[in-house]
Amino acid sequence: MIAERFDYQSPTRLADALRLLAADPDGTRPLSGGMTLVPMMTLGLAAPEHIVDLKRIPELGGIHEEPDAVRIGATATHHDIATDPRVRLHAPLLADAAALVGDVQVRNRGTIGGSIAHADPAANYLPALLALDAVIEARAKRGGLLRNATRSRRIPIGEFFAGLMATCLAAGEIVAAVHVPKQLAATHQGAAFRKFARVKGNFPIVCAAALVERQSSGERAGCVAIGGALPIPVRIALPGGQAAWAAGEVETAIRQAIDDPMSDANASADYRLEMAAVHGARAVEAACRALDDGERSA
Amino acid sequence: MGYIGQRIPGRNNLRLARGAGQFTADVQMPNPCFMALVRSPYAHAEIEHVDVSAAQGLPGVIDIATAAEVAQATRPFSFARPPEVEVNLADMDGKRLREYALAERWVGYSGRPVAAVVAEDPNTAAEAAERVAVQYRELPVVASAEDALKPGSPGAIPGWNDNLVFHTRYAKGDAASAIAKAPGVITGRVQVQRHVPVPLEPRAFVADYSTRTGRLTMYASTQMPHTDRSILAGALGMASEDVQVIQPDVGGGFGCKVPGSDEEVLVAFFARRLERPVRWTEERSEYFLACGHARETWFDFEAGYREDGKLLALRIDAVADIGLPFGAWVQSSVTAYCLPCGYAVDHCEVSMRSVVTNKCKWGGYRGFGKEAASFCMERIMDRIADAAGLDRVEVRLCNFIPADAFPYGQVSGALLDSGNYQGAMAKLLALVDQEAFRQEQAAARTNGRCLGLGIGFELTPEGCSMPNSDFLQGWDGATVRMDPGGRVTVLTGVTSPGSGNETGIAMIVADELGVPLDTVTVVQGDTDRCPYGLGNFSSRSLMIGGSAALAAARELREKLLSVGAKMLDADPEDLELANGEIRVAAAPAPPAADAPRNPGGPAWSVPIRRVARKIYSHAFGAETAHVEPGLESTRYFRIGNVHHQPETEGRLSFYPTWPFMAVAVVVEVDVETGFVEVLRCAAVHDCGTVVNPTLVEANTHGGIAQGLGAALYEELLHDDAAQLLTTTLMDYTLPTAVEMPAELSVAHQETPTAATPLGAKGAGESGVAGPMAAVASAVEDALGVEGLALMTLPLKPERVWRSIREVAGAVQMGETA
Repeated sequence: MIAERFDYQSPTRLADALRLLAADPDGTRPLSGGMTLVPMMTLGLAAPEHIVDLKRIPELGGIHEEPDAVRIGATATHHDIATDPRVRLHAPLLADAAALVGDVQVRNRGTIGGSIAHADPAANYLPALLALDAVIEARAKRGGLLRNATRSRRIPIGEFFAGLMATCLAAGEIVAAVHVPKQLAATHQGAAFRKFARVKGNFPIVCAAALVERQSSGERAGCVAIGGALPIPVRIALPGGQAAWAAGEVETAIRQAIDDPMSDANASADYRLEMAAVHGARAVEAACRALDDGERSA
Repeated sequence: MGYIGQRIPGRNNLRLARGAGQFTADVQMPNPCFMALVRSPYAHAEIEHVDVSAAQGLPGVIDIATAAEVAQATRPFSFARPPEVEVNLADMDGKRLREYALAERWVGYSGRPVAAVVAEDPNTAAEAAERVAVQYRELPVVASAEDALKPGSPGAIPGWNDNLVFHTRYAKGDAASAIAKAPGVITGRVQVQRHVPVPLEPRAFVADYSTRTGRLTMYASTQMPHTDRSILAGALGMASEDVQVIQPDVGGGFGCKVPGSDEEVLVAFFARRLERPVRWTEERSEYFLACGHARETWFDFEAGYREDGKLLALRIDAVADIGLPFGAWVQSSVTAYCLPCGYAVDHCEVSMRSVVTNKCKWGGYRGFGKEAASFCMERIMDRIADAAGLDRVEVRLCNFIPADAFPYGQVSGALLDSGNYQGAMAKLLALVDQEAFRQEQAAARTNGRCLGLGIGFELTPEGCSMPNSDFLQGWDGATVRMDPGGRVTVLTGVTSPGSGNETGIAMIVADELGVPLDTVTVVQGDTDRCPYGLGNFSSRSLMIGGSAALAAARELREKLLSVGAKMLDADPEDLELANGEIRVAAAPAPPAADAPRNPGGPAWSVPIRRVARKIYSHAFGAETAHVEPGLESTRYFRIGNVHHQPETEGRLSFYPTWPFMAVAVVVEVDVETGFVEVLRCAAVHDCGTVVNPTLVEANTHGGIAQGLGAALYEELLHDDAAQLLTTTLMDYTLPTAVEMPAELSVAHQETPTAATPLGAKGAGESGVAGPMAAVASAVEDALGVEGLALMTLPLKPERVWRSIREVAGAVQMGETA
């Protein structure tokens, strides 16, 4: 039950939403799928006085192809992303990450913008977007007298997260979209996402996103990003200059990159670190297999 | 052929699946108000001061009750004690504890209701509850049974000289010297975690009180309406006739909806005080905090065995952390009572100490302590097999009580009615091709996958009948009536928590009366309509309630036959009831059956509805004057094999029927992570005569899901201050449909009981213990690491991962992977 009263508005114009958010930034929360905010309100962990629902704003929805990127609107659901052919083609890693969020009900309602803005360190999207070098498009009301003026800025995903469930978004600023650079074709790049959770529908203990490509020299290059181990997702560049990675090499790189892992009832720190290493390595291995398959089919 | 034994889907399935159920929270009443509770944030504290002034000022607040008012207006309550009886909820060794629905001066667990607020809407009630300022003085907290037993431990309950509430002890033979002489001895500790059942529907109560009639009407998500009525009447000092309890659809009980909760008494208290409908629907977080926990038990065992695996002697020293001694802490005694379950041990000593701590009281949970006992015995069997280098199944077979030894007196005095455990195991092994699995396992290993097969056996006694208990009794009542149109109504004292016994009871009555199943209506869960009965617990609804309905239907049958005989001019002995008619047994097949037996003479058959009509409308006629008018019978049934007089019967035995199940699971274990996935599960279940296999299987599927939950996922965790850490479904990991094995089958063996007329035993609690044991066994089998013993539940990934490393060392693990 949500104990505190709040008012609810559902504008259809972005400028209206941003103005409402700017009017009382501390007391106002944007709402999208409600998969995080609503449970927080029922538990009394959030008690906003104003809710601004973003779902009816066209600019914030939809998935659009751009010359070099796919723009995913903040209110695109996990199901939308998991099943969109353009995402599948240009950023299969993200489609895989979306397909493993929560359960069917959550995927039908929850949105990428909400997940990113909430910045739970274990959320599937975070390491996937980090590996993909995504760019966050943030919007806010512009200061001054112009009623409908909005401000837009692009934030590289690596600069977006400020700490545990904290982002660099300013008061009144929202995630409007995510721009995911188009990846190389499957013949030249392998991607894999791994989620490790106690039950399939739950938040992961750790998750891992890996991208691997073949350079013109014939060497492999790539990265793996880990979520759930640290307060913010961490991206690890894989040691370059090799045709393949030796056993344990990826795990070692992950262990070195994660200092002081988090701990909770499902996984204490040392176990969590080990799981980050194991699943990170598995993601890399699967990405390498995908690359091999892609190359063979070329 | 009758309905009994047929696969007939539950008659409420479609309605409930369509969302057309009426649960307590769906019950509408005009002008309702809403209750919210102020709960103690401390596990152990004195209440120094309660200030309600800030809450009183809030617009929309109707009423606030403090403990003193509740203590004045109600009596401390326990299970179904009449109000005249002074109740001591715990009165063991002179230890007393008397509690009202609100804590007045002392709180013994975090979540205990301290004050209650009623408002025009739930939000205002919640806000008002937050504004009630309670000043506490913290007391030393006893957070675990281990701490509770330490000499010099602070008391979980002030004034008690120690933290032991009850010590259950059973012994047979001389275990100590038999162990000393045994060729092999093993020792160890088995540990079952603290648990809750988590029904989909949390608790909910809606009550109204009418000054015009002086009656209280309570809609409750309860398992036992009549008991509930007694408790409410007792607590409020009302005549039970002035209290009506109605149980709408219930979204799962599993034991946690037995009556006697603080919250329900408070709802009734406010309804009477305000003369207005009062509602309360539990929040999930409240459920975890305060509804009632279960199962937290450890077992230290010492077992002496022979080279062939025969268990010669066994000592079990068990300790249960029962939190505060209210509710269903007796489950811990039931655990001791069941040991050593389905195994024959000549020398056996069982000790169970039920220890109080500053945690939530226990509530009933499916298995009612039996699951912990079976899990403990199965782990011991596996340890003997490992130590003796024997096959795990063989060790069980050589220790089972022989099929020809029933009725069998177990160590506690329990008289096990009937069984064929070897038969169930043999049938299971016929379903599970062990050799083929070993090949599959070897092939998987070469691909780096670790598969394991585990076998478990459970014994789940049912029909609990305790001496001098107001609610744990092995009898129940039913009314069966046929209306003048031939339609049948069955009113039962037993209830259904959503499990489908109403379908089974309708089948029994339809068979007895020879009428179509769809002409039989079953009414349950209304104290104004149904005969007194004890409701739903201990798998009793079909076996006891169904037997009462059978007895009542039999009386109607006799009357119908007697009148039918006159109408057909035949001897009642020559008649049969079937397909809605009474007919001469020698009648030709229809349509000739309608024809007269001879020209101008009586017919071969008569529709039952015509006989019914005759009884109602020709009470003074030649065909009916010899029978009592009316077509209604209320009968009570007392189950057999209950022994309450040790002086004359030589034993105290309070579980009449002993169903059992053998189960096999196949798991895959991820060696690098400790993650366990259950791939397949097959079971052979025996609850005597099966009235409806589909319903038994559906029940067992649910039990298996809860057993897998216990084995792998579920766990209530507290910190050192006894604060619950797992208060949401985010933290309390429950299996969902996708965690259930893709292959799941339940087969039946039928070893009837003599305790019921149909030979049916209970089936409601089956399926939980076996999978707990089989999964642990299967994980060990999958890992194949010598010396690995997974004795503590749940087998969450980190625990499995650590266990592997403790035994094998990290280096070897890398190789195994």
